[in-house]
Amino acid sequence: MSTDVVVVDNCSKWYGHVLGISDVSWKLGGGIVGLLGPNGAGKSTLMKMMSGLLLPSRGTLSVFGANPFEDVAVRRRIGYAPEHEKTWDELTALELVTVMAKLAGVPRDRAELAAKTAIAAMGMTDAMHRRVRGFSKGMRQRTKLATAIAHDPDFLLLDEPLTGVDPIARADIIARIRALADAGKTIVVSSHVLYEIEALTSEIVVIYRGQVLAEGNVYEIRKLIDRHPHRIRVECDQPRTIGAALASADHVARIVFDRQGVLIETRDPDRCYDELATAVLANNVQVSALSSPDNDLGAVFEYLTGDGGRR
Amino acid sequence: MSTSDRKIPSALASTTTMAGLTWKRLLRGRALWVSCLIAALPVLYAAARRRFGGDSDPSEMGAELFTFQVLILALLAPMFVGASIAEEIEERTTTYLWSRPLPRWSVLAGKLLALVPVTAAIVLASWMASAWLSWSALPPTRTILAIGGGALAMSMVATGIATLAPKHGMALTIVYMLFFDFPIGVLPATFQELSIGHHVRVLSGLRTPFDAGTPLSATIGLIVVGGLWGLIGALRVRRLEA
Repeated sequence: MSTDVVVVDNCSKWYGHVLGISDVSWKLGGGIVGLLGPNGAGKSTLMKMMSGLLLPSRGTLSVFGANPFEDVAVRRRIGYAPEHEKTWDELTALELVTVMAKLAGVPRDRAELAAKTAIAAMGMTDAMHRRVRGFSKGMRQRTKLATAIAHDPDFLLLDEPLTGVDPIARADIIARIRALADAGKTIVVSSHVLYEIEALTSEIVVIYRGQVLAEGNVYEIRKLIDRHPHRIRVECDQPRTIGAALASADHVARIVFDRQGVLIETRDPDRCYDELATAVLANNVQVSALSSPDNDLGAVFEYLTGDGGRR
Repeated sequence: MSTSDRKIPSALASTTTMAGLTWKRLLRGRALWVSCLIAALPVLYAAARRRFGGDSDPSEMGAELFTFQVLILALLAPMFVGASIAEEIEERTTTYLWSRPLPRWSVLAGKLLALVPVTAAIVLASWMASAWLSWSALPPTRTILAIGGGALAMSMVATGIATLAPKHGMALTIVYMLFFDFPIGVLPATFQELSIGHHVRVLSGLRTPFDAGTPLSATIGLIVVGGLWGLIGALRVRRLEA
């Protein structure tokens, strides 16, 4: 029997003539996974299908071995925080989270305690008796997250949980999501902002125009794109010496100089690093910084989508 | 949380939780006060009739006032139930509900459980006040039962229509009641059987010259028409995507 939390098998979803996702196959074992893609890429469609809100138009999708749209029981193990802002704003945060806990199956006599625990886990205790109507974006996001975790689900689906949140709150929410993963939850977090995902996890699924372009560790994904030049930036006192040493190498595609150093584009990063080290030692070059812009998600995304996420 | 706590809620628990949520929102919103103002219109009319209308035939006046109450019922049921269901779907708060382990029909049942008594109570209060002003007596028990049954049946209609066309759930239900249900209620023969307004009038005993039928046939008519619309609502939400 499969131990995968989620199995997506050749899933497609159309909204009339509009394609949501197309022929997606994907498995999720555990941990935190970032679902990365620009707006309209199909992230929310996939999240909604996993949370039982949408049925695939074609293919199958299972969570803990069951179809979340049809199987009521499996939804007890799922916590979903939607992307949108709408809640029942007339309620206080405590009332809202308590109702959600009850509807998720927490016994009535323990629902309020579960809600208070969830609210505390999201750092909202001070505001729990205030109505949601008056909440800031960040407070709404935290309240949404509290509704998702109040019934202690095994699998959390957090759709754009950091959107519109200020940097301090963002760091705090990231830490709290990580704490949930440390507590053994399987978490899928979606975002169109690269550094948000990067701050949460190195395990990503890149989705674009309804299709999974790549999945795995950022570095593994990098292997998929080795046909594209990999950039290495060297800040040093003799950039032209470095450039001259590497100019004739067959793996070097381009060399660009600027005031601080030199940017080398190579098709074979390992060889390039070796030859770079040799050149530095042979010419006694003083290197002040060595970096690869391609190790951040922005570059990976740019390579994979071909347009940096701009549509 | 222990494993033993990981149960899915029963349909009854989901229904009562939804009813509680709906109640809380209703009490903190404006719809309740607006509906009270609407329900005051027949009372004002009765007061005006008493002051300026001279001596009227009590049964004729009773039928007239009761018809006014049925009209109010046809406005309030969509205002409460239709708007509440349509709002959940349109505002996408159903994403919270459908992702929970609850039978979807229990969301509709919870709303009906919370809102039908409120609708019936407001119209009843209006009817009692109107009757008191008109005859200095409380209305017959049959009329009270008819309003209760009518509130439930019209709310079921609102449920069905709101799930089919959430964007205009309230307006379409009012249009349905005013331009379909009421007109066919005065048509002869079997067409009348499709009209909730007709059945409510028959059940109340304050029928118009057009209304034919017995209290039993009216009760069955309310159950069938209301039940059909309720079934449409339940089937619709079963496959509704969020």
